[in-house]
Amino acid sequence: MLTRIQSDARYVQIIGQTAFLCWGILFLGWQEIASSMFIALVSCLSIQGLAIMFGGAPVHSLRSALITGLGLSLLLRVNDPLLMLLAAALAIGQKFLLRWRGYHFWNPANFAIAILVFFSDDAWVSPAQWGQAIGILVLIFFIGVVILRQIHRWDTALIYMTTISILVIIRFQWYLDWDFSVTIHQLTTGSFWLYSLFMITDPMSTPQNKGWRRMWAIGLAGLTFYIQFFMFIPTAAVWSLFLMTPCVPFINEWTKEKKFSWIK
Amino acid sequence: MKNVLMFIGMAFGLFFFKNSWCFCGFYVAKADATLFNNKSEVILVRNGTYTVITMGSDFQGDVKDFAMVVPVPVVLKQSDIAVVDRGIFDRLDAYSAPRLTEYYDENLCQQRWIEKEEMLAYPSVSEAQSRMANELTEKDNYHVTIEAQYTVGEYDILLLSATESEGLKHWLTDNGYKIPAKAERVLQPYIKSNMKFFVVKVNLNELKKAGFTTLRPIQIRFDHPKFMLPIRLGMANSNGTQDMLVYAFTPTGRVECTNYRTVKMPTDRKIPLFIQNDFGSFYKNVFDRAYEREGKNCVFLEYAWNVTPSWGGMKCDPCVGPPPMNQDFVQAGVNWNQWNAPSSVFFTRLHVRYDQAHFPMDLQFQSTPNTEHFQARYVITHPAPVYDGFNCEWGQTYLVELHDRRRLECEEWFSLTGAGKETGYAYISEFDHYLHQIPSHWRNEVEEHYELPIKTKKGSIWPESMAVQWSGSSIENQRKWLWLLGMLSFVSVFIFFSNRKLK
Repeated sequence: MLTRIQSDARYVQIIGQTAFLCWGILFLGWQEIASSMFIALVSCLSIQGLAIMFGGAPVHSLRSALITGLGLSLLLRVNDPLLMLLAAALAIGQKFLLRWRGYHFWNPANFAIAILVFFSDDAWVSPAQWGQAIGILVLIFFIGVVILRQIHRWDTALIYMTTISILVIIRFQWYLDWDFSVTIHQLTTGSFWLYSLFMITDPMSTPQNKGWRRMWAIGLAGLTFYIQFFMFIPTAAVWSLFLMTPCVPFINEWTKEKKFSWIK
Repeated sequence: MKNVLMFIGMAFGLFFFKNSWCFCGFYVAKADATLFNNKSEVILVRNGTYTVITMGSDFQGDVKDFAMVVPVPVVLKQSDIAVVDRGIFDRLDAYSAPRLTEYYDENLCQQRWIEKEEMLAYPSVSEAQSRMANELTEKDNYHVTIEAQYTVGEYDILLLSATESEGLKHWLTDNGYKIPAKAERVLQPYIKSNMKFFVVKVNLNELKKAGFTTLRPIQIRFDHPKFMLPIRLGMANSNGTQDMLVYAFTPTGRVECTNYRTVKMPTDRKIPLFIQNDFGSFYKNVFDRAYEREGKNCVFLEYAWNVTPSWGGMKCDPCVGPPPMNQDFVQAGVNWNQWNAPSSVFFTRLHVRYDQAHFPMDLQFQSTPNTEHFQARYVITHPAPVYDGFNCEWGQTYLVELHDRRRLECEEWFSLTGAGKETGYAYISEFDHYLHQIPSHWRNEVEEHYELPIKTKKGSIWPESMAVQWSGSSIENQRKWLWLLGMLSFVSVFIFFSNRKLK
């Protein structure tokens, strides 16, 4: 079992996201929205299953589909659980329909969330759902470190978080002259950590080239910061990632780096 | 297809909520805003980026000492400022307050007896009564600009912009505004974020002319993407906690906080009958305990409902007060629900207790499309009338159930409030003397007299069905563990069967 888990970083990702879901069920009352989570997981797997049967996708891609389903469950909130079916269709469909030279343009879960929140009147994201509990931060941190080591994307997360931290300190601590507790409050939200360690580090939608990837992470952090604190949109991370990932296939094509493979 | 799935969902719901009540209780009491000291009330209306904030003040001192400084994102025009009737706060509070509902048990022995006696009408239990100009002046030494100056109602209003907090503080104190000593440090960030200061003082002549003795709420409206309530300024000189009730209206759905967790108050709990005598202080204890348990840095949801006047659905159960009318919405600043184009109005009531240590930032909000209804509701159940005793098989079973239920009610009370240790055994055993035989599972309890558990619980303590002997686990907990187990086994099975050779 352990060797199997080590063979593919997605296993750790699945275990990690399941742990966060369990946290939500245990402490945040998510048993109330369990039906929409269930639909998200099942529909992501079934749609990917269809793609495997009729589109020739590899069987192991089911793992990616499960990660997408877990991502939707963790982040997207809907009025009608059936909307999760649409979210799953958008997320998985986009991977197969919007492709360019072997790369898809968006992180599947992020794409579905952005499209649904923007176009539908029944979906939203709750950025404060995790609160500031130290327990969830420790959990996110440790699982994050294990995964990022395995997929060699720790640099993206580190640079993204550092850039945001520096910008927050400059703006809130140094320029606006707020108390230090404001900076701490901004930087210890569960959503920020979860996004930094899990969402933006998807190796399929970050540049393969190291230098470019680091530059890209800085740009992403800057854009997130701008949307959140100058356009006053609390769900900034969703929108900045949505705007920044489409340039990744072009960067990859230009730098001619080898495509990332999940399987060792 | 949708209907089919909805039906299955409903069946699941029934399975999990076997013990839920039908909507037919009576409303008996409410826990309104007057319970909390140091409280303020705010009505927030948000439509896109258009925001209306109505600030209710419960200012107790001499009106000539009243002054208020509120940071606002833009310079307001005179037409953007209004004074509204205080009554709207009372109506919204009364309508959305946490409520106590009562239900009545029937005496089925009595019913049989009545049948035997061939009486046509027996006393219906449901008969039980329901108690139911803009001058622009720069003062060099202060670096403060008066962007605008108005008199609205009984208030003199200034809109200031400043470049440094020291100057603003001096300007305010020199012009007779009493500013807390530590306010300067808090003013600075607002100045730097280019916010303006909405400064209010009472115009005594206007007040005399209008004939009011108390101050009316002030309403401001502006168009700006910022959706927040500045609470830091009010905390500058206060070490204690303050309560704030936010009545929010949007065309889409619930309002939730984006920088603090929004938590639902415990709801639909059965509590002992005698709580109806003092429901107010009971709810206050429930709130205190929820506040402590959630880490003192949460915003609590007390009510969320679609209150569109033209909407035909049920607006509350039970209704604590008359629902807000169109004119209430207009007064609150709801501008999208016109007679010619009615659209939906969603009402959210949030309760936040804040202090300096746990709320380092101003409250920021977002309006979500979440239209799930919610109310903080507690239930009492009256025992069946005794009549000629419970001398039938059903009656004897009922008495055992009643005893067990009352014990659970006491434990629920304890788990909700952490109080109630002093509950007498008298309430639990009130009807025991009608029993012909003490059931075996009470033996220890009766001998030693019943005591509440040592530790209070977080969730509801009610078992899934009252017919089952009390197992100590709750519906909420059972569902929680069920989903948890389901999740874990789903993922384990996935990993176990995920076949590497098929790559």
